[in-house]
Amino acid sequence: MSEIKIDAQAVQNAARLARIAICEQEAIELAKELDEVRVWIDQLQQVDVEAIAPLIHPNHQQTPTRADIAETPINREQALANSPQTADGHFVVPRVVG
Amino acid sequence: MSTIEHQTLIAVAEDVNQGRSSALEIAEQHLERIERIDSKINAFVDVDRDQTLHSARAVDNAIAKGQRNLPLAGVPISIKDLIAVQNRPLRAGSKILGDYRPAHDATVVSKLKAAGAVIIGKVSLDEFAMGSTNESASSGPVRNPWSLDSVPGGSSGGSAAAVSAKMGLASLGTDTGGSVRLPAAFCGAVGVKPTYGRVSRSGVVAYASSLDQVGPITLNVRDAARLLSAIAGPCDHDSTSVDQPIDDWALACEQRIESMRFGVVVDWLERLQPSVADAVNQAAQALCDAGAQRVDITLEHDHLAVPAYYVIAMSEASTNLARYDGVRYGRRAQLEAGASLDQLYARSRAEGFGPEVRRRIILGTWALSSGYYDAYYDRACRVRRLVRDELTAALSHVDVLLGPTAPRTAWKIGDTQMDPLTTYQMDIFTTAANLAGLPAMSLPWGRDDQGLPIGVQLHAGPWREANLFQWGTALEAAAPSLEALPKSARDLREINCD
Amino acid sequence: MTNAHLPKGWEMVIGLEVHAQLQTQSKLFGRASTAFGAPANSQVDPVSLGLPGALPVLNREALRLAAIAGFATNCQVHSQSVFERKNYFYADLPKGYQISQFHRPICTDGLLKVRVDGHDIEVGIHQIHMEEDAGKSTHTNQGSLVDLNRAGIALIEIVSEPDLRTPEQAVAYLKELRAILLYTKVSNGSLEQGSFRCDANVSVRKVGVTELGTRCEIKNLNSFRAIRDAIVAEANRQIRRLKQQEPITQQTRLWNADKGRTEAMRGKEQAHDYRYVPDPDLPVVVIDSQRLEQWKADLPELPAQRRARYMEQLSLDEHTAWFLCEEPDRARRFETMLGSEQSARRAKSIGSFLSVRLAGAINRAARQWHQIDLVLVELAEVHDQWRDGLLSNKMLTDLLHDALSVEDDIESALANARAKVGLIEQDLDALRDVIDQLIEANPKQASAYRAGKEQLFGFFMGQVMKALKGKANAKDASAALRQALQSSD
Repeated sequence: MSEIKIDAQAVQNAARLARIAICEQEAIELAKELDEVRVWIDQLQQVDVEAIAPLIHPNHQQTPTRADIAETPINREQALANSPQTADGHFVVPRVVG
Repeated sequence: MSTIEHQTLIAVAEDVNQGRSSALEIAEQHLERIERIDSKINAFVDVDRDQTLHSARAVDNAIAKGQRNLPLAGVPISIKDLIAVQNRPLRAGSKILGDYRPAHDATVVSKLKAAGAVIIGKVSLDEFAMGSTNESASSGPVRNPWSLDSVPGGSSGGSAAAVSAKMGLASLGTDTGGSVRLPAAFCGAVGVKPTYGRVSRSGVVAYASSLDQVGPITLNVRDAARLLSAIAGPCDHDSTSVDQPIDDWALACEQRIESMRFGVVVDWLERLQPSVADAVNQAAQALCDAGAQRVDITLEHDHLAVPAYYVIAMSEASTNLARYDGVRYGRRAQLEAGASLDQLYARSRAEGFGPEVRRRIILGTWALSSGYYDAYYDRACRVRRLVRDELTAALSHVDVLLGPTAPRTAWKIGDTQMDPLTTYQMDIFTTAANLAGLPAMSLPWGRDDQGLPIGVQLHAGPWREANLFQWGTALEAAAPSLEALPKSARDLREINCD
Repeated sequence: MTNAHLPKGWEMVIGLEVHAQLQTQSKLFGRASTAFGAPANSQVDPVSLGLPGALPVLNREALRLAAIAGFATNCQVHSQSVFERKNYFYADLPKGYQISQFHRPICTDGLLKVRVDGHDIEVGIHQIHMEEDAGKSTHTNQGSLVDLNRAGIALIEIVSEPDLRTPEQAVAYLKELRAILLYTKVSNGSLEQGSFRCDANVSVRKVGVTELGTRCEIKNLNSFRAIRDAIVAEANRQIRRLKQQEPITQQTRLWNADKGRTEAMRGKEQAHDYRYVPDPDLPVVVIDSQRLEQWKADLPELPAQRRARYMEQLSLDEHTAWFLCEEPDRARRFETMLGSEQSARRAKSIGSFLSVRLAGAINRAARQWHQIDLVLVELAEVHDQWRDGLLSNKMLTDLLHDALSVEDDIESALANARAKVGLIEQDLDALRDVIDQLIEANPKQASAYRAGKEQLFGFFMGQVMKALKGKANAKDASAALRQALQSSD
């Protein structure tokens, strides 16, 4: 695992995927902090987990299902009430190029 | 009506049910106390006096009409501001939610209301429940009622501080890696993290979905049992809630532990603040004195719980928090004309999230990204299975595991020693229960030489909360009293409302 | 395989990804309605809005329909499957991730037999998985307007293997798949409403080469014609590049029908990293084997089976059988009209009545097929009258035109049209007189007929019809003529 390192480039890439704007300086500082955390997390590499299946849901056998019944849990007015910008019953965002 | 100092949740509910006290008077009493002292503690982020009094009157009316069996009749309860209360702002300690007001109560809040509880207000937390100090809330740090310059612990710091300062008789917190238990320990309260799936998460802002559970914070074990009974049970809006029998936890509180077995994980006694180590040893001795049998246990993978926890929690958080984008609700960054949709996202999220949340989202995104998924997220999930299997195996031989809640007591607000990595390691004893989905409880065991409360912790097997309540009351009966208070907090804690 | 659309020596390799909307009342994980055409953002719920604290709960009807789609395409339908989050940001994706299936989809390894140009080909189905639909953005000068009514509606994505070699095969595969989804009521299959959408993966290679070339994905294909044209245009674009020694870049391209070419999508050059992760809100999906068996046993007759039945039992020709079976409603109309009188002869006649006469009339009147559903039995009577010669071709055309061009309810419109056009009423005596006169006037032909020159029957028949100005009941006329010719001398 020694070849893995969180550098400013990795931070910028993750920040771009996560849609969080960060400047170059922030990326450099964050890289330093996060790489320390990464080194600490690398304890996990000590143990052999090849034969162990990942555990996602600790206490669950299967997902429940619900009957197919349409409801109106939220009306249009409630749906739009909390939005910073609406027009004509729609949420508005900067124009997306198709 | 009793003074606030001597109220317990169960006694108040009985008094209100029997008509000996009115919910309205109780609510007024607690509202007045919040008004009087919360400026010093900063636990509450939203108090709606009219709404609170209105629901208190509704409880009184129900009782007047013959209702007698409301388990939480007239009990004033605060709600961590990660949990939706209808038409009240839901901020999660963040700027990014703006003035968002949910149209519905979270399932746990509806259940509280149905049980006759009176919601007294929303309380502070670390932003999106990410933290152990309650310093990162957008509403400013919360202070520990036992020592106003110390942190209350986190992330449910507002909940524990409010309960400890007797502003409300209980609070609902959430626990992802210790967020109910750690502040309960730091503030001298009882905090329970139920079995994962025991309590509905519907209407609770998700931090890490596979780890989050809502849990009660109270001043004693029996109150916690009563409160948990009211919010537990399956919910058809949460696919991870499970329909498991709910034992009579009040009854469990009265059952003896004589000749039963408890485990002590020997590694958990290392590298503790000495007073914390003493507390755990005394607690173990008290259990033995009560006739229980101690079994020493070693765990091979336990030290990997915290790093595995952080990888999983941050990874899940990175996707759970993607919905906060300033489009359908919440705060949107001011943008110059012609800005793109991606700029709207990136700027709104950079401005709306605080530094710790940004850090965790970025690290979590990295751990899930191409090339790192297997080495980090996937591996952490495999380690999670090791931790879970090992812990449940240990708990098949004993009723409960006893240990510390945290390696130390509360630290000072603004302590620069407590950088993120050091703070993460304060979760060393709490994250395993979340990884394994097990129930756990923190309860007070005396105070250190600074007068700060110490928490001891019990773990039980899945769905065996009854064990926590049974052993918890036994410990509580033997624990040193918290009554004598340091000067700094005495003024606050001893204020009566007669 | 030769391919008329490409330069000699080249072939194309096509794989198709079909998104089909499942016919459910409520969304895949949220409870809002799925009804088409409601005002923007009026059919939403906490899950489809991505509200804080909203959690998904699986719609069990969607699960059943996805399994049925798998059985109907000969897939392995798995008793365990896993929902994952596909993470990306877009205005019409409220949660910042789409709940989909990736590593463990509900159905895998299917096979579809498709008939093209009189031959059967086999197309592998790589997998079928369940996922949520996205919302809809409308782009205006003021910005993009987002409507989340569609967000969260249940879809299945059916991913074929790259087994298709011509656009005709691709279209035949899509039509067969769509028919299967309609027969099983898994989807309404509407291309217009976007409930049946297709993306095409296209690559080219020299004939004889076995490795796959670099592929491009084409989106924005909203008709069978667009699919055919886009595949041809894209394959030829790739061949032109390769011939000029230019490499093919794997990318997503949009079909521009106006310009007749595919175009690279702008702004999507950055490689995606979807960070698929098991959805922690949704434990493993489990279907017990008993229920799976039941669903499989309950499969209705599929288009291929029905076509075979029509061709074997009713002796329909392949073309008519295909036409009738393309949509289950068409087959249902056919069977209703056929009723209990199921002779091969009548079946053939009704088949052509539907596919030629009625189809033409409905087209000309710009009506919809479902509008004749109330009068199928009456239309079968009309057919029988036409077959029996009580209606001439012209009368039938007029009748159908009248019935379909009126805005009235179809029952009275048809009744009125039938009354107006009437039937050929035969005065048998008058008919016999006409016939006798004709035989008298043509003694040579009559003798020749009697001597065995049977083809002269047509000559007499023509004369009879001419004399009666077309208003003759052909059946009665032919019977009377035959009798008269045989008895006279």
